[in-house]
Amino acid sequence: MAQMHKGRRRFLGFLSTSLFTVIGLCLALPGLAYFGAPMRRKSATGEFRSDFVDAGPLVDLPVGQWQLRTVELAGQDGWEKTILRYAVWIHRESESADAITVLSSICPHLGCPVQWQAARAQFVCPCHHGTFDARGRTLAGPPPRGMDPLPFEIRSGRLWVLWNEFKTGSAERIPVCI
Amino acid sequence: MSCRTDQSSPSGFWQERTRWSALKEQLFTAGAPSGSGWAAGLGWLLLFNILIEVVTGVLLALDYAPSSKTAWPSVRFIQQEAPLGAFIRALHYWGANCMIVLLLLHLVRAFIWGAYKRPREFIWMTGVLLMFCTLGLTHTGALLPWDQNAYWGTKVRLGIIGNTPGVGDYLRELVQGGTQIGNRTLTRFFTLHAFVLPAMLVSLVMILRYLLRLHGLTPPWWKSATDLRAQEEPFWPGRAYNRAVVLLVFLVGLGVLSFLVPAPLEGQADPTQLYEARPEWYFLFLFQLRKYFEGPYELVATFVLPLIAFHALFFWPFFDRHPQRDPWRRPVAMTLFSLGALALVGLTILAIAKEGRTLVAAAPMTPKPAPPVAPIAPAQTWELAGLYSANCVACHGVDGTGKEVRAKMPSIADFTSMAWQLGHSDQTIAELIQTGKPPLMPAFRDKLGHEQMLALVIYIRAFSIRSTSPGFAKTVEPSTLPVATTLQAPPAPLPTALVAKQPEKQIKPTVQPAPTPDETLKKTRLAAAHLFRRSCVSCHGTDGRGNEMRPIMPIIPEFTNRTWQEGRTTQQLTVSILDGKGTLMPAFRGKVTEQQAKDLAQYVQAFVPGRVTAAEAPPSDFEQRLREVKGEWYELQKQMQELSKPPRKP
Repeated sequence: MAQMHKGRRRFLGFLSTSLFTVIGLCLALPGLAYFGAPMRRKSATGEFRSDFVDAGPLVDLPVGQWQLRTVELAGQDGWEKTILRYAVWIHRESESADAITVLSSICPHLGCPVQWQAARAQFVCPCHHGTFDARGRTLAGPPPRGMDPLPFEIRSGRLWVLWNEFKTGSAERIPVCI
Repeated sequence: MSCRTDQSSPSGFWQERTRWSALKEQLFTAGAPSGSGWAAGLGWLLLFNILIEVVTGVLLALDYAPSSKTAWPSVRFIQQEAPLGAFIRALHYWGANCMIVLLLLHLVRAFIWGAYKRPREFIWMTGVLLMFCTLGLTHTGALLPWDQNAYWGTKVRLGIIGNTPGVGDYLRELVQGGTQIGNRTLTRFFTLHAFVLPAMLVSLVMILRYLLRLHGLTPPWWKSATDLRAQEEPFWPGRAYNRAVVLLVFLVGLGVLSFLVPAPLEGQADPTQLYEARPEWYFLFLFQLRKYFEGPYELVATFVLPLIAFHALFFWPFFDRHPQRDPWRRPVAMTLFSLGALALVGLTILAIAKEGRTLVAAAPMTPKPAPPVAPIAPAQTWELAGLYSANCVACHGVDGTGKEVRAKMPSIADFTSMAWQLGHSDQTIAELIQTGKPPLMPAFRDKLGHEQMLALVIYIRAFSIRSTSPGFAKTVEPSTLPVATTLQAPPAPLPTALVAKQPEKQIKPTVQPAPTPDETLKKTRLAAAHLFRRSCVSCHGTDGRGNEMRPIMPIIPEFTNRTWQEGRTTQQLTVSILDGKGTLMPAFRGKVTEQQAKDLAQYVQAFVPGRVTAAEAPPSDFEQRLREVKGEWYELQKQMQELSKPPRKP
């Protein structure tokens, strides 16, 4: 009798295995799709997505010195609209309103906050000791590119900066969507 | 089997339903081969350690709220306010560190014993997975406090993940839950840390225990089979006693450590504050290794070598298949292993020795976990009142009640209210000043320095004292106030806390009646400028454009706009100043005289050039105001000192 049913039993076994596999996939796939959802968002469109934001009055900028300013932009952080805050380094070369350099404080290596060291006249990243000269060009250490310059505008005596974050660890500047 | 003492009747209630004696036999009383003393105890310690982590973790989760706004405050609450919170958190933190140590020791022991040899290959592999699972737990757990260290450490780690060839960007966004570190990163890490990884860990432990049951503990290589059989002993009670002693010593040690050394909690994560991120001690070797690979070769240290190391470790049982277990007869395996261990230890030592910190101190605004009282640099008293007049008085009023504008800004705080004062910590007030509070309170980040904001906090605190102290007039009449003669000399350093006592530094300024205003001096443009600075600037801005407030007060006029100016006469402006306008412009009647209002109106009109000419101004009005303010503050300070006679807890 067992002999007779062997084929049938194997077929049933195969069928059960398949059914349970299908059930398992039904359970797993939506879960994986939900978990992986952040990956499906298109990254790096190559455009600045944000608007110019206020970085404080121009008069407070000392000529010939690097100054750290905070910029704030409205953004969506998960479920809430929130203010995202970032720091930028600003340098005013002369009294002329356009002689200004704005650099992102984010190290192009791995994203640590770069610090200006006036004594050495260099930017230094405290994490892996990448150094940049007073114009933000790479001098030594791991950073694959210089510090990221940011576009700016002068509007009624205040400095407005177009913030963007760039992909770290890459030699090209690839903007990251905010 | 000699120790079998409990012979419950097989027909007992529980026995009949659960057959628990069979389970007991299986677990406790069956003879087990002699373990290798202390070394076998490591596994037990690890199990116990996992248990501690689970229990403390559940307790911490009771008060933890994973979001970028609540994570740090909730951890700070656990750390500073919840009873036993700091201890529980320290147990969790130090327990995790212990687990890394125990895992490493366990790995070393298993390797030396040859515990991965056939048929125990899978036990070794499960163990390796367990170790990486634990590393995953420490990494996800490190972000949860959302302090500076958590934020920047995670940022670097995610940066490294993002540089993985090919899939880096996707992997990073998957782990990060988006393109930025934020709310979804926290919830993801929390889910991994509290649900996914612990479930994996427990599953791995169960697999490991099952395989251990199947194959038995690896016996020491120096004992013969007969020796082993002779030493066979049931777990209960002899071996259990040994284990209990070890566990107790471990528990006491961990408890004392956690009691003495709290888990670190730095200031709340802030992407605008400079910070120096360093990996945990068990990853310092990778940190050091990275230094030897520059540019594109960096991937060797951050990706290639770790990947190779993982595979070498994981598949090791299949590389080294000779059944010999005596370490002295396995020269190649032991040499390789020793070299690996030496490299690890050496790199870690190098990393510690060569540590060159570039930031001298942590960022200035970083609130330290321990002292809730923010330190303040000595500020001069008149500076304080001046600060308040220049920035806050227009809305909050001279007396801090904000009653003049409450009708139009119902949500304005009453600084004299005890409920408000008790409901706001110094930290909160400082943050409110710094970042503002929509829709009406502007942010003073760009206008005021850190110390100035803290000084304002103290000034604001003083309102509660002023109003609750009986017999002290709410509004100080300048003419009746004692006024110090010299303005330049700083009277005394400010009290660092609200009720700091400084009896030895009691200020004894020479007092004299305030000088009567010189009737011959006309109210001039300078006086108007001062008035404007005091009362108007916080909304209308120094340049009169009102740009800062426009987002929340869309109808605020631009004084520099000629069309706007030409549509209004001086008289109309004066009325607006005295009686207020619309829903937001407060009435200044009572605060300024009609003449002052008129001067102000002319000052406002001067924003468009060529309308009003200003006369040269003598500085006396400004100085007089300073004297008033200083006197006011002196009186306030006296009140504070009186109040602090019965010393309150700072």
